[in-house]
Amino acid sequence: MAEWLRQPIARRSALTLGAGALASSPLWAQLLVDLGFSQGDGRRPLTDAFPGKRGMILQRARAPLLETPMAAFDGELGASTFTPNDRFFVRWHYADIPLSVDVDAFRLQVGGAVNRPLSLSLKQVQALPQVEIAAVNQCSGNSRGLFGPRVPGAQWGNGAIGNALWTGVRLRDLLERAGVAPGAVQVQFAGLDRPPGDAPWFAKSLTIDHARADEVIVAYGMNGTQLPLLNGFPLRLIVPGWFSTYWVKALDRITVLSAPDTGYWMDKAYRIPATPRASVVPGAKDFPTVPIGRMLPRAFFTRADAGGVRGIALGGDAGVAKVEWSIDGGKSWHAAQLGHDAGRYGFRRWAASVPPGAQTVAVRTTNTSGATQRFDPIWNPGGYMRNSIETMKVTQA
Amino acid sequence: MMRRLGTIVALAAVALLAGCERYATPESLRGGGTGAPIALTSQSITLPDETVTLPASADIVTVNCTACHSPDLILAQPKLKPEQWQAEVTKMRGAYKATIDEQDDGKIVAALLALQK
Repeated sequence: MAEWLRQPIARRSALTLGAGALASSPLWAQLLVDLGFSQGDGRRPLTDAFPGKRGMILQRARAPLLETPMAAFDGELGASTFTPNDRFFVRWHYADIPLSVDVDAFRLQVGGAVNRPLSLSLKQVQALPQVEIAAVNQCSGNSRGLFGPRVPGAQWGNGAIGNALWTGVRLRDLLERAGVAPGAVQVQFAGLDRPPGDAPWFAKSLTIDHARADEVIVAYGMNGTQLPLLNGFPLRLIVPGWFSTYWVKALDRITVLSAPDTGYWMDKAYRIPATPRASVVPGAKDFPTVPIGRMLPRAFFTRADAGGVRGIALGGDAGVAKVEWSIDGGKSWHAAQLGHDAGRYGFRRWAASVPPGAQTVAVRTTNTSGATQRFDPIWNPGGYMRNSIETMKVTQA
Repeated sequence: MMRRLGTIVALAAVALLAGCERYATPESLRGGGTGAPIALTSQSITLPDETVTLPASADIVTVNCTACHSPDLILAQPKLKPEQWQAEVTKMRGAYKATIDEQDDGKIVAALLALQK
């Protein structure tokens, strides 16, 4: 690395570093993107420097936070809805993440309130019946940078999200092999990442009923191949319809609990107001909270130009029933075309042709449970659950 | 530029994923064993060096904060009020057991605010 990159730099020059780095460092920050935040602070470098990743928006080098540019999701209505593994967003809490995994040495432990604790090799895991599901993985704080008033934390644009075909085994099948003891209430999941010092180990829990649900799987495949290390190789918990905080990466420990998980990551972190739309008055404190869980419907633009507007949609915890567009601020809505349905938990592509002239196009998804999107934004101090309607200015010939 | 990149990516995605699209049905969850086997091979990676450092005037932030996260995230925060920065410092000490001396809080918050000027 060029020595000048090591020089102390002020905030303004930090933001332009990416552009300057192009000449001297082909591996690092090659372009800038602007995520369009309210304080003009949305500029971020694009990077190819992380193994197995290319063209990612650099939010943090350590622990890695890499966002997917919206352009990576773009495609014709009939194109695949899957996000390529090398463009899939990356989010780790602690800097000590697994950088090397030996597939022969790796073991998945299933323990706690079970009759037969298991220590399974990857071969033993793969010997169980193989299932597949298309599902959207979205960070709880996706779009946090678009909150107003702004809140601290990773300043994601809309790209802390991706859709993949996950291949693996049902969590239920693993639990049955271990034999869940009577009185089990939750199942806790932890991976190979480690906290600094005495910080709390990262672990998340689902209720025993949710853990036994048909769609919850332990995945060893992502879009037909093994997962990238940065996305949780060799095993990742897949919880379709729920936010990514539960999708524990490099999963190596499943613990059946006979009392609710009171650990930091369930009891204190990733909690949302127990209010409609998880929204409170900005600045509010001391309101009742619940753990974040189900996702909400959203629609995003991936392209808006003279050829029309198009993008991707998700239903959240249900399928996409319809995507609609409006050019009159939501007074009238019109059905967008939908791409093929790869399953209720995956992306659907949408496309629309809007009338000639300069327009502000709004787009909203309604899911098969009837939940839809609204214009008015929500607010909570964690910057979670944003799903307000996206708009885009476009001039049609 | 972005659009051209998007087109290239979309084409690459179609080429890459054409092979697994046929399995992407809700039915595959019920059937079991419908897809091709996934071969697992050991992986080892090296992360890139960090390129962003804080100015000398923010040494107290470098010393107290960057052991756990790189400076880029600190520099990317929206403009926060002193009490919001204090809440972050308090959270790192309380929830994450960071060894930050309470006597340094004022200096750390002041340095964080100065970084945002």
